[in-house]
Amino acid sequence: MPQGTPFNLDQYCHVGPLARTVADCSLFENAIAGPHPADIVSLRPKLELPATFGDIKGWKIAFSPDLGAYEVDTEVAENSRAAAEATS
Amino acid sequence: MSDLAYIPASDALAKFRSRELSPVELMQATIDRAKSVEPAIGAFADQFFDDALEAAQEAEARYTGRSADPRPLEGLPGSIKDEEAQTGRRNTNASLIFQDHIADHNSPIVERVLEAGGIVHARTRTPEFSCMPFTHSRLWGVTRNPWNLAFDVGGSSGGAAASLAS
Repeated sequence: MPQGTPFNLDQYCHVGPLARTVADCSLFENAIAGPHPADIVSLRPKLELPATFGDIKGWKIAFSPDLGAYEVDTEVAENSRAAAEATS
Repeated sequence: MSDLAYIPASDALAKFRSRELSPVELMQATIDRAKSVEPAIGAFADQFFDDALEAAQEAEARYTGRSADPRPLEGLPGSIKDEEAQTGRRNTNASLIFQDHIADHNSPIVERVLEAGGIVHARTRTPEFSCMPFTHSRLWGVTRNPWNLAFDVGGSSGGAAASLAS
């Protein structure tokens, strides 16, 4: 995902799509990804995401509500855990 | 309230192609929804609703064969973070220093969204220079969480998240 200066000088710092569904994120990502002359660390060749994705059942996914360092509201932590458990 | 503003973008594109829905109708629903939640949320720095409706009419012409073929994001409403430059638009980075700064180029993401036919109806708020994990600045004030106005919305893409969740 290429980004203009000065933000592309921080390699951890990138723009990206925000959307309401996974398919929408994929659609948006595919429209904006790919190498760009303004960003020397943009990935090449372009990574194309599929329009649909398979089931994630059986995947091993790490979940940390606080990354071991942050204070998280109980309600937020519980809702995040419930959402994570819904994928299992 | 109509649910049209919440339609997934992929579904909207399919309906544009089958002519069940016009990009103008979707843009109008998006604008109506934004107007009904603002200024309580504070998602936007600048908004371009008239320009967006005009662009939606051009997109409609592409879907109805009165103009060139539709492109991958043709007619979809979307906001751009006020961190990213768009030619001719104000690019403040939420800083008082840049409150009148007009961009003279498109950043890569803006260039590609526009080339793909996406319509930028607003620029969303950030913390100053996108350097904080919340969205509050002296220039734009506080952006609130649509699920609970007593809460912040995170950052630095707080305006973007608030707009999408509203």
